[in-house]
Amino acid sequence: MSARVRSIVEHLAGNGWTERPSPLRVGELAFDDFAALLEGPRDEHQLVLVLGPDADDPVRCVRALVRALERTGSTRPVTLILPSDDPDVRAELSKLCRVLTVPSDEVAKSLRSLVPLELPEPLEPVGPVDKALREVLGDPLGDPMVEALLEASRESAEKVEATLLEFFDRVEANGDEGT
Amino acid sequence: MTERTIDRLLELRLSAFRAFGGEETVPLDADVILVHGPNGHGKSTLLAALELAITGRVEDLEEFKDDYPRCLRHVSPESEETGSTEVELRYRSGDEALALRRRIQPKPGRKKGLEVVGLDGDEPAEGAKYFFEERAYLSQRGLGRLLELYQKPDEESRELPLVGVLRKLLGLDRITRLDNGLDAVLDIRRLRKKSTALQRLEAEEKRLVSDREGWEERKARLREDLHRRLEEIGDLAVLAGHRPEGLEVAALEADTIEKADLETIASTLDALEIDLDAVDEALARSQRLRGAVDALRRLPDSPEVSKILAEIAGELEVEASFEAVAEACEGEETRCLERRRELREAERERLRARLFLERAAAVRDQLLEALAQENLFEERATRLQEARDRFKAVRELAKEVHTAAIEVEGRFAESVFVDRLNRFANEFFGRLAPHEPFRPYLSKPESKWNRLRVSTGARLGESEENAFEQAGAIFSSGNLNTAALTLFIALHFLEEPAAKMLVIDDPVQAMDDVHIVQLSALLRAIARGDQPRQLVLAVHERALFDYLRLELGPTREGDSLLAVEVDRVPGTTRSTVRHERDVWQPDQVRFG
Repeated sequence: MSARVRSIVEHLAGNGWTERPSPLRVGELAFDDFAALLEGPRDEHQLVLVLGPDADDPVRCVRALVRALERTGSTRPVTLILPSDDPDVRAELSKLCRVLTVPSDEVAKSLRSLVPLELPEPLEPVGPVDKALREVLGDPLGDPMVEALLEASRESAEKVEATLLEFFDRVEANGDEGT
Repeated sequence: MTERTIDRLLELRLSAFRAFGGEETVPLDADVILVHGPNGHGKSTLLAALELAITGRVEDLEEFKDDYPRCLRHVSPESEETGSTEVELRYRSGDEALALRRRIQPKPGRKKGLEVVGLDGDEPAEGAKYFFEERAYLSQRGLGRLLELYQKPDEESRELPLVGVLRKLLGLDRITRLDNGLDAVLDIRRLRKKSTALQRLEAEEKRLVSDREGWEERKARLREDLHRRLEEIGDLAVLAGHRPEGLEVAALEADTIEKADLETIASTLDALEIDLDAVDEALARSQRLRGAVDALRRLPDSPEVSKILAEIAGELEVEASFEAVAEACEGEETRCLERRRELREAERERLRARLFLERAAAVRDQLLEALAQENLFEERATRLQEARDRFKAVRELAKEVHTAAIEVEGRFAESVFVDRLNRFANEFFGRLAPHEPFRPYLSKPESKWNRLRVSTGARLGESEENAFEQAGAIFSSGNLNTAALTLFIALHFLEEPAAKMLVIDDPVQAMDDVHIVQLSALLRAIARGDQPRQLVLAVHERALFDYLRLELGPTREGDSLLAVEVDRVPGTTRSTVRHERDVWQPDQVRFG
C-alpha cells in the first residue's frame, strides 16, 4: 500500500470508516484491483474503493463491479477514490459511481464529504439573551426596576418605556411620602 | 408544557388541490422522500400542499392577492365541478401521531372570495410553523431570495432578512425592545418630553428658585424699611442725649437690624414723658403776682401797699417799685410760656417717636417672620435634591441596562455570525465545494441607528486583504447558489429545530455535476448524521432522481427512502402520484 493510499485509509478509518480486506466479493465474483477497501461510515454499508496508482484498467474493473452490484440487487452507494486526476478516466468513471480525486496535500479536504456530519449542539431557543443580559448586568440584577425592565422586554419597546416612566413616577411618589 | 413540534412527517393527503384533481395519498414516513416529476406536473405543488397543511398558507402564492387562495383549487378543462379542496397532514410530535386538516372554502356570510380554514386537528405550535416556513422549507423562490443576500449590496436603510431571522432566533428582539424602550434615558431632552415626573420635578425646582428670589427681595425690602424707620427715630430731637445703645446698633448694622430691641427703646421713650406741672405752676405764680401788683397799683399809696409791694419785690428779688415788680412778673411769665411751648413740642416728638417705633416694630416682626421662612426653603430644597438624586439613580440604572443590552447584542451577533453561523456555513460549503479556495462568510455585524448590518462576503483564508464584502463579486453563479443553500442549511442547524426536516424544492439549481455529487453526499450526511433530519427533495430530472435515489438510499437496517413520482393521468390534465419504498436489503457483498 502506497503512502498516499495509506494516508487516505487512515483518514477515513479515523472518521467512522472500517478498512475491509481484499478482495471484494459480489456473489461469485471477486475484485482485487483496489489498493484499499472501506465500508461505512459507522454502521452504514457504503463502499469506498481506493484505486492504486498503478491500476491496470480502472474503468473496466469498476464497470464490472457496478454491474455485479446491480445484478445482485445491491443498493450500496460506491465512492471511488482516485489518487491522481486524469480527466478522461474520471469522466468515464463518474458515469458509474461517485468519484473523488485526492491530491496528496489535500487529503482531508478532498474526503470531507465522506466524513460523518458532527455538528455542535444546537442553541437553546431564546434563552441565551436573557442569561447573557443577567451576566453582564451583574450587581444591579435583582433590583426590582431591572427585573421589571427585563420582563417588559418580552412584550414590546412601548412596555419597556412605560415601565421606565413608572419608576420615574415612583421617584416622585417617594418624595411626597418623605414630606 | 412543551410546545408541539413537528418531528416527522408521516403522510400527506390532498384532494382537488391545484394540479391534483382527485384524492391523493402521499406517504412520507421515511428518512428520505424523493419527489420526481417533469416541470409543470405538480412536484412543487406537493410541497406547497405540505406547506399549506403545516402553516395554513402558501407563501410564494400569497402575493398574488387577486387570485389567492382561489389558485389553490383544482381547475380542469375536463370537468367544471371540482370537489372540496382539502389537505391533511399526519405527523409525529414526540411519541404522538397527530393529524391536521385545512380546507379552501367560501368566506362566511356575505363576504366574497375564499379562505383557508383549519379544520379540527392537532395544530403544531406557532414556533414550529414559523420554523418550518423560515428554516425547514426552501421553495425554488426561497432559494432565489437567499441568493439575493449574496448578490445585492447591503442597504443602510433596512436590515437583511437574515438579521431578522437571527433576531428572532436569539431573542435579540428583546434587546431591540430594551434599546428602543430605554432610548430616552440617553438624552435628557428626550427624557424630559417623555417623563411627566421629570417635568413636574423640574417645574418644582424652578418654582423654588423663583420663590426664593421673591423671598430674598422681600427680606431686603423689609430690612431697608426697618433701617430707615429706625434712622428716623434716631433723628428726632427729643431723643438727643437719650438715644439708647440698642438703637445705635440697630441703625448702623443692617445684618443685626432685626435684633434691635425696640421694646427697650420704647421703655426709654416712655420714661421721657414730660411733666408740664412745674412750668404751669411757675406761670400761674407769675400771673398771680402780676395780678396782685396791678391790684396794688390801683390802690392809694399807704404803708400797707408799700409793705405788700416790698414783700412781692423781695420774692422776685427785684427793686420794690411797681415798674420793677411788673417787669419782673412779665419777664417770668414770658419765660414760663416759652418753656411750656418747648416742652409741648418735645412731648409731641416723643409721641411721634413712639408711633414710629410701633411701626418699626411691625416691620421688624414681618422681617422676623420672613427670616423664619428660610428653614422652609431649605427643607423644600433638600426634598427636591433628594428627588433629583433618586431620579438620577433610576436614570443611571436604566442606562446600565441599556448598555448591557447593547453589549449583549454585539456579543451575540458576533458569536453567532462570526463564530457559529460561519462555522456551520463553512462546514457545509466545504463539503459542497471542497476545492473552491474562497469561502462565503458573514461579516461581523455592526450596530448603526438601532440596526444590525452584516455583509455576506467571500474570503480566501483569514487575511483581511483577501476578504470581499460581496460574495457576488467573487463566486460563480453556481457557487453563489451553493453558498445560499449552505446558509439555509446552516440556519436550520443553528438551534434546536421545532420542525425536524429539510424540505427543498430543486436543490441543484445551476449546479454542475461535481457539485451535485457533493450535495448528495452532504444530504446523506445530514440524513444519517448525529442530528438527523428527514429530507424531502423535489427534482425534475429523471437521471438526477435515479442518482439521488441510489446515493441517498438505505445503507443499513432501518433506513428508508420513498420515491414519489408525479405524473399526469393519461389523457387528462390532472396529476397523480405513485410511490415506492426502498429499504435496506442485505446483499451479497463480502470482503476477503
